[in-house]
This record gives sequence, structure tokens and C-alpha cells, in this order.
Amino acid sequence: MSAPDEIVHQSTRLKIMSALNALPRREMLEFVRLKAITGATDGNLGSHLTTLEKTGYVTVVKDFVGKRPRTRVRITTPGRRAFQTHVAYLRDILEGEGAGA
Amino acid sequence: MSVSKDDALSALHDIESAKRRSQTLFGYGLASPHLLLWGTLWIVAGLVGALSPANTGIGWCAVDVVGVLGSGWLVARHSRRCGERGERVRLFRYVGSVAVLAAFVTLTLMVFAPASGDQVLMLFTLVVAAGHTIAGCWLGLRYAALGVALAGLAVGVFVLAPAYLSLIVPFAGGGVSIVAGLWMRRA
Repeated sequence: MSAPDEIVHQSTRLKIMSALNALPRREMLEFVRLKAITGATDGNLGSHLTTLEKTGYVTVVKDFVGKRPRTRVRITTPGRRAFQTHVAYLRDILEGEGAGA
Repeated sequence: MSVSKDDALSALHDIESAKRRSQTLFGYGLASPHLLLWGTLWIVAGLVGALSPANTGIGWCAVDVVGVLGSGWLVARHSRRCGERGERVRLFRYVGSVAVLAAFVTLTLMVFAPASGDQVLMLFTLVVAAGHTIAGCWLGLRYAALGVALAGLAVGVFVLAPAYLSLIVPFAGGGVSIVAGLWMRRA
């Protein structure tokens, strides 16, 4: 059985990773959309994204559209793999193989 | 770290919910430029019809060609970002969809032989509205809102002001599509 990923398992980060994993490869999600999906505040979301970026699970891209700043986020290949492994772990628990607390 | 069954269930629920929301918002983002394009073209076709009624049919054909090419370019542009395999699959789907629509339009006009341009306009407005509404049942409520608005508008004009149908529907329908496109872009 696979092991839990403590970085991914935190509630907001789990939603971030799920939202990004649902996109086609190379696609990015804008910060504002990610905020709507997770229901997090700007600061909270930014903090979790920093954690995920430092771990190498996501890439944050900042640019400008005209004069308006834009922040977009993309899941990396290791991030996708870590997320899928964690989902497999959660499913294993439900199927009775997990060491429930 | 240990995770209980309840925690695992809750986490999987959150995952599914975030995935659905992400796909819906991403879809809105993809649909938005198409709606802006076709809404604008619809208004252009209405202008051609209003300024030169004799060239209404040519105007609609011209905007359809521009729309198909423009949407094709938008699909190709997006597909390039998804990698080679995604590009081929999406372009194949797009070309297939256009071919089906072209066949549908040709055969419908041949079988039903509508007597007036207003009938043709109503038919295609209602088909487009139904398409959006059906998409809304599966992909996101904003498509359904657009479909219902288009159908309500067309039927309302058909019943209340049939003499102005060819003037009102293209402008109002194009306007509704543009508003929906902006609404989806901001989603």
C-alpha cells in the first residue's frame, strides 16, 4: 500500500492539486479561478502555493496581460504523480487495507 | 501520519468536487472566445441583412465561413498547448463536428424547404439554443443560461414582433452570446 503524502493531504492543498490534476497536460489555472475552487483567501492560497512550489509539485507563472498582473499555476509531473499516489492511498483506506486511526 | 476512513472519504469527496469545478471553469475559459467570436459575427450578419436585405444569405454564408475558420484557429491554438497527440485529437473532433453540422444544415434545408428567411433564422437560432442548453446539462449551468436566453429571445420576438425578427434576433442573439462569453471569461 502507498504512503500518505503530508504535503498533498492538507485540505486546501488537496483541492489545489485536484483542480490542477483535472486539467490537460501543460494547461495552467489562473489564481482567481483557483481561489474560487478552493474557497481560500488570497494570502492563504498564496501560502499553500508556495509550499507546493517549494516541494516541486506545482509551477507558478507570473506575467502581465496588458497592465494587469496575472498569476497562473501548473501541476508538474512529480506533482501529478504524488497526487495520484495519494489518491490511491485514500482509496486503499476505504477498501479496508488502510491503517485507520 | 495516519488517516481514518472518514478522513479518507471526506478527502476523496473534496477531490471530486474540486475536479468538477476545475473542469467546469476551464471549459468556460475555452468556450469564451468562441462565444465572443460568434456573437460578433452574428451581429455583423444582422448588419449586412439590415443594410442590404438582398445580400442577407451571402452575409450569413460569409460569417459562417469566417466563424468556422476562426473557431478552428482557436481550437488549433489551444491544442498546440496540449501537445501533439492532443492537437490531432482535438482537430479531428473539430473537423468532424463541422462536417456533421454542415450535413445537418444542408439536409434540413433540403427536407423542410423553409419558405422564408425568418424560418431559417428561427430554426438555426433554436438549434443553437438547444445545443447550448444540452451542453449546460452536462458541462456547466452557464451554457444552459445562454441557451434558455437565446431560445426565449427568439420565441418572444417570433410571437410578439414577427415583422422585426430578422432585425432583432441577430443583434440580440449576438449580444447575448457576447455577454455570455464575457461572463464565462470572468468565471
